[in-house]
Amino acid sequence: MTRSSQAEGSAGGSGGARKWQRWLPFLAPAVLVVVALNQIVLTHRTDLSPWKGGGFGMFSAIRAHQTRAYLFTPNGERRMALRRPRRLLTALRHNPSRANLERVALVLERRARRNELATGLRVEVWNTLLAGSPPTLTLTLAHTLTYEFPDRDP
Amino acid sequence: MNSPIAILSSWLREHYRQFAEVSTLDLIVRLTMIFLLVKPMNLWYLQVPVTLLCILGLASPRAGRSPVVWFLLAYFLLARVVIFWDVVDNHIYLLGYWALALACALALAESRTAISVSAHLLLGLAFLFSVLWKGVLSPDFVSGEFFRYTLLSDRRFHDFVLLFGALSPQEYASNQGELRQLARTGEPITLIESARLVLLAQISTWWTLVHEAFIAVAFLGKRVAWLSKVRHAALVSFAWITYPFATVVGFGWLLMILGIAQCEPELKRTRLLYLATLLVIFVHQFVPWTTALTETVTAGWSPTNPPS
Repeated sequence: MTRSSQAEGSAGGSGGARKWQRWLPFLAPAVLVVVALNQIVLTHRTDLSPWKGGGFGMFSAIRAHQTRAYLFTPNGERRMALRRPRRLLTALRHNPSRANLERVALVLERRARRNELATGLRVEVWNTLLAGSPPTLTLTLAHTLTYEFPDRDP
Repeated sequence: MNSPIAILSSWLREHYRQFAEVSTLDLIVRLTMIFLLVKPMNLWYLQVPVTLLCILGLASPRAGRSPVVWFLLAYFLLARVVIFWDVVDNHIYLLGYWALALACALALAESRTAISVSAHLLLGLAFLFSVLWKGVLSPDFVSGEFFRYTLLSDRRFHDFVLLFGALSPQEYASNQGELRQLARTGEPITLIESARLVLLAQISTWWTLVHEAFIAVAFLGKRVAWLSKVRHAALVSFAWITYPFATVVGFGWLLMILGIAQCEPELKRTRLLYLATLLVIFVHQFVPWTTALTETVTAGWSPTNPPS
């Protein structure tokens, strides 16, 4: 490694520091503040998790959303296995927006095409609530999207 | 003939002398690049350029100090944040800001001072927003509900709960089974909890809040001299208390790099302490000593033979 006997500066102008250069060390912290404030607004306007979005709200709130999906078949509703795509499902758990619900529904629709009789599906996001002592955990439905397959009769 | 202890002592002294002479800027550049090399990026078209830039920077000190290299790294790291904005953890955001801060600092004549200012602010602001969430914005935290739930459900706290929460391994396993049942059926479940675990949740709540608030004030309130002086102790102790149990290796590593970056040049032992802490955090993911300790301590525990 280079020894500290070298000057600890690598670049610079010969005519002295320009005015804007004084502000460069504050650029990254300023971006952090803007993103973190935006995250606070987003969590209050939408159901974005405090854990995500760059607001440093990790380990501050119970966030245990669970996702479920049901396929509509002539024999009734059938629960679908939800393992992939992992990134999209993680995004849905932490940010259950309409856009993310629709993305998941479209991915599941492609998978459901193997079942020719299926007419639609429903995606659900459930929240976990803790109450009492000893602690009881219950699930409550937080978000849902019903998606009818466009080219099939219900 | 020298004894092995004398040889080891001499070797340590020599390497400490060499370490003390390494410039802070070179050290943080290299540590950050090593961190980026071991941290997967999820997308190959981001992973490949980041890996190549880091190899280049580690092979050539000149490239490692190039603002162009760091602006490119910041671009790729922040691109990942933009693409996965609602999925990635907060330390991935911080990593992007840190690369941007390094790029900006290396473009200036006073790089060392500039990076110290950026690291100082990034650390203080990250803890400030964390405290804002815990103390003001999230009702779950101050009530103690968050830690109660997390200690019972988050497997990362397994060792902590068994060592200090007065739950036996069997009770803990039973709770995990109930949680799986909740996910499978959606039917309400009741978890086993001890009075000591409730107390542990309360202590964890307030300790975390006070410790993080203290770090935020110590880093942002530079005008209060004594606070500024104890900021290193506050940050290092936070790492030693938090990361053996809450194994968020990436965050711990990054906090220690930022700690080194804002450390005064004359405080060589403090810098070494940051580096040692970083290494302990890194090694812990491969050698989970807290798990081994937990298994040893709780070997004889059972619901009929609870810990005293």
